[in-house]
Amino acid sequence: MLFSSWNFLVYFLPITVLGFALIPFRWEIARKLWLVAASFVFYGYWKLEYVPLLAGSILFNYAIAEGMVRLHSTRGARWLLIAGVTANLLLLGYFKYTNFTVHFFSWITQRDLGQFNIILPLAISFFTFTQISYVVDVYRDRTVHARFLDYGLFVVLFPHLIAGPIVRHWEIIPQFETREFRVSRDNFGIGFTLFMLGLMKKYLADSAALYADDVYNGAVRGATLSSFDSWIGTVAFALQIYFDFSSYSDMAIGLARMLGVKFPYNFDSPYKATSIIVFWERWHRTLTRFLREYVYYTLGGNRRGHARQMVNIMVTMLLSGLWHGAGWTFVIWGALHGMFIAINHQWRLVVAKTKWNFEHWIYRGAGVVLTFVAVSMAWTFFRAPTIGVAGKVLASLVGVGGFSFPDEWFWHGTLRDHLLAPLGFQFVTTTALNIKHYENALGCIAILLAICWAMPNSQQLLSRYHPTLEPVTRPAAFHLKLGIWTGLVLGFVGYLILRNSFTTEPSPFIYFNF
Amino acid sequence: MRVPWKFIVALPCGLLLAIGFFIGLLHTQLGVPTESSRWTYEIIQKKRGIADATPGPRLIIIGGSNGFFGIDARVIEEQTGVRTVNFSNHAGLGLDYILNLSEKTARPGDTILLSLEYEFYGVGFNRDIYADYILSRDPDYFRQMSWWETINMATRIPFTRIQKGWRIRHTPEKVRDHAPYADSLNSHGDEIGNTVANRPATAKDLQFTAEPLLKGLPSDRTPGFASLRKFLAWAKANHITVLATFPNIVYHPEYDQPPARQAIQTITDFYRAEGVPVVGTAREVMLPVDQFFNTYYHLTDEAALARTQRLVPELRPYLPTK
Repeated sequence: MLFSSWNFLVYFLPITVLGFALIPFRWEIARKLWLVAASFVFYGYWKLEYVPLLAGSILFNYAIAEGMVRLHSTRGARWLLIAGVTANLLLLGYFKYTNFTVHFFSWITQRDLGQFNIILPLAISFFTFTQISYVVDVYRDRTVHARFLDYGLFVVLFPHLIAGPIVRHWEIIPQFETREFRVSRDNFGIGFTLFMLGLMKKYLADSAALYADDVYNGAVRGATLSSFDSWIGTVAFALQIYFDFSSYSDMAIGLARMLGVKFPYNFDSPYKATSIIVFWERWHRTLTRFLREYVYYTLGGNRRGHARQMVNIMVTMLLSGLWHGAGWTFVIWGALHGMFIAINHQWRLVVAKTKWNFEHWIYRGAGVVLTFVAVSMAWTFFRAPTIGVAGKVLASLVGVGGFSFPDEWFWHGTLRDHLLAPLGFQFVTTTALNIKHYENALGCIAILLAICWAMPNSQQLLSRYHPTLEPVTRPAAFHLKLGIWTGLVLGFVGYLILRNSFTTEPSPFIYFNF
Repeated sequence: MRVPWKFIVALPCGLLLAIGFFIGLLHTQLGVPTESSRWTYEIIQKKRGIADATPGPRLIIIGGSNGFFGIDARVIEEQTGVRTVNFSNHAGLGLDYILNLSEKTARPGDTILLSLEYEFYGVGFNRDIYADYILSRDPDYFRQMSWWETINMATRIPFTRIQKGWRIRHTPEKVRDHAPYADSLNSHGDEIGNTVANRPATAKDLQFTAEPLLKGLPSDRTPGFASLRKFLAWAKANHITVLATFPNIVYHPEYDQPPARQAIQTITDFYRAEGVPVVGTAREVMLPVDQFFNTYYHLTDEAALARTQRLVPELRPYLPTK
C-alpha cells in the first residue's frame, strides 16, 4: 500500500490512528497488538503470501537474540551470531541475488543457465538490515533485551517497514514505554504536517520524473541524445530521486510521529553538501550509519592505516551499491561513490597539510556544485537499466564527439548559426525523444534546484516542534508556525492530494525496489 | 513548542473549504454542454422517445452497451409479439444512473430484462463519463444527489474535466455533424450497421477482460448489488417484472477458471435470492472474438441476431401473453 494511495489515505491511516487513539493508554499490550496487526495488514496488502516470511524472519531473529542472551559462553553466542547473520544474508541473497548470480555465471561460462522465477519480497532489504543490527547489538551487549511484542512492533511498525529509515532498537523500543507513545495533539499535529510535506514532495518528484523518463526511455529505445538532453535527464533524475526518497522519509517520520514514535531523520539537505563525504552524512543517514557501524568499522575503519582505510571505503560502498540492487549498474554506482569518497579523503589531507582556507562562500558554492555534478553523474548508473544505456547517456553528457544541442529547440537560427556553431557546438535531431517542451523541463529543474539549495528542509521548518529523535543541528532562519493559517492551508492541500490519489494511479517510490 | 488546538481544528476546516470550493466549481459549469457527452445524450433522448411512444405492456432491455449492440429488440418483438424497446445505454454512465433512467421509463405491467456488464456487479466502470454527462446534460440529477454523492463526484472528477467545463463555459465547443451510435438506432432502439463487413481492422478494446471474471466477486455486498437490490424493490412495488441474463462477452480461457465460476455463481445466487429468473447461462454468451465488432462487449449485427434467436425461446415463458 503506497502512502499516497487512496486506500492508505482514506481507509488504512484513519482507522489505524483512530483505533490506536481509542484504546485506553493503560491497555499497553492491546495498543501494541493493534499496531502490529495494522502493520501486517499494511504489508499483506501487497502480497499475502510473504506475510509468513516476514513473521518467520521476526521469530527466527528474536530466537537467535534470546539464545545469545541465555547462553553464558561467548563462544556459543558467537556461533549463534554467525548463524543468525548468515541466515539473514542467505535469505536476502536468495531473493535478491540468485538471478544476478545465475546471470553472472551465464556470462562467465557463455551458457544460458536460465532464470529463476523469484519475486523479491517487498522491504526485505530493510527488515533484514533492521534485524541484523538487533542481533549484532545483542551479541555486543547481552544486557540488551526486548520483549517479543516490543521487538515485533519495532520490526514491523508500518511507517518504516517498507523503505526505512533503518532504525535501531535502542532508539525505538524504549519509546514504547513512555507517556509520549500515543496520539496526542502535539504528536498528531507535528506528524501530520511532516506527512503532508512529504506528500507534496512526492508531486515534485513525479514532475521531475517526466523529464528523466523521457531521456532514459529514449536512450533505451536507441534514440539520438544530444548532450543537452542528457544533462536534462541526468539532473532531472537526481532531483527525482532526492524528492522521492526525501518525501518517503518525511512521510515515514510523520506517520510514526502521529503514533507518538520519533524516528531519526534520514535526509539533511544532501544537495547542499560541500563535499561527497558530507553528502553521505546527509543522504539516507540511517543507511550510512548502518554501513559505517556494521561494515566499515567491522572492517577496521581508519584504524589500520590510510591504504586500508581506502580499501574499507571501497568495500563498504560496493556493498552499499549491491544492497540497492542486484545488478552491475548498482555495483558501478557504489564503486564510483567509493572512489569519490577516497578522493575526497585525499583532498582533505592535502588541504590540511597546506592549510588552505576553503571557507569562503565561493569555494563552498563550488564545492556544492561539484558534489552535485559528481552525484548526478553517478546516479546515471542507478537509473539506467544497463551499463550500455548509462554509458550512452554519460558519453553524450560529457560531449564525447562534441557537445551537442537538440536542433528543434533552436527554432530561431541566429543563436545557433552565428554563435554556437562557430564555437564548435553540434546540433542533432532528437525527435525520437518526447521532450518537446524544453522550457518546461528547464523551468521545472530550476524550481526544484532552488528548493533544494535555497529552502530549509522539513526538519528545519519544524525545528521548534522537535519533530525527530535528534535535535536539528543547523536551524534555519525560516520556520513553520502551526497555527490557523497553516492548518487551513494543509487541510486544503490535503484534499487536493486526496483528489489526486483518486483520479490518478499513485506512482511507487523508487526505494520500494530495494 | 506545543501545537495549538486551533491548528488541529483548522485542518478539517481547510479540508471542508477545499471540498466546498470544488463543489462550487462544479456548480459553475452545470448544464454547460460538452461535445464528448453529446452522443450519449442523443442516444438517451431517442430511446426515451421510442419508449414513451411504445404502448405497454412492454419488454424493456436494460444494461450497458452489451445489450445495446447484442440483443435485438426488433427480432424479439417480431417473434414474441411483445412490444420491445432496447433501452440499454452507455455503460460509462454507471449502474445507478442507468437504473435511474429505467425507473423514469418503465410503467406498471412492463417486463425488464437486465443484461448488465460484469463490471456492474463489482466496483463498476471509470466514472469520468458519468461525471461529464451529469454536469453537461442532467444538472437536475446533480442537484438532487445526496451530499455524500456530491462530495464523491467533486473528489473523483479529474481536474482536466473541470478545466474543460470552465473553458467551454466561455468558449462553447464546435458541434460536430455526426453523433456516433445515436445516428444508427432503429425504431426499437437497437444499434445497427455494425456488420462484419464494417468491422474496424484493429480494435484494442477487443482484447480487454472483465475484472470480476478474472478476480471473482468477493460477495453480493458490493455497491453494484446494493443498487440492484434497491432497484428490484422499486420494481416489485411498481408491479414491474424483472428478468436477468448474462452479457455477451469475448471468451477468454481464464473465464473457465474458479474466480470466473465463483463470480457467475454469486450473480446467479443473488438473482435467485431476489426471485429474479435468470434467462440463459453465462457460458453460452461468452463468444469467439470474431463475433464482436469493436469492444469486448459489442457483438456484430450478425452475431446479435443469432444471440437474440437463441434468447427468444428462453424468454418466452416469462413474457406476458397477448
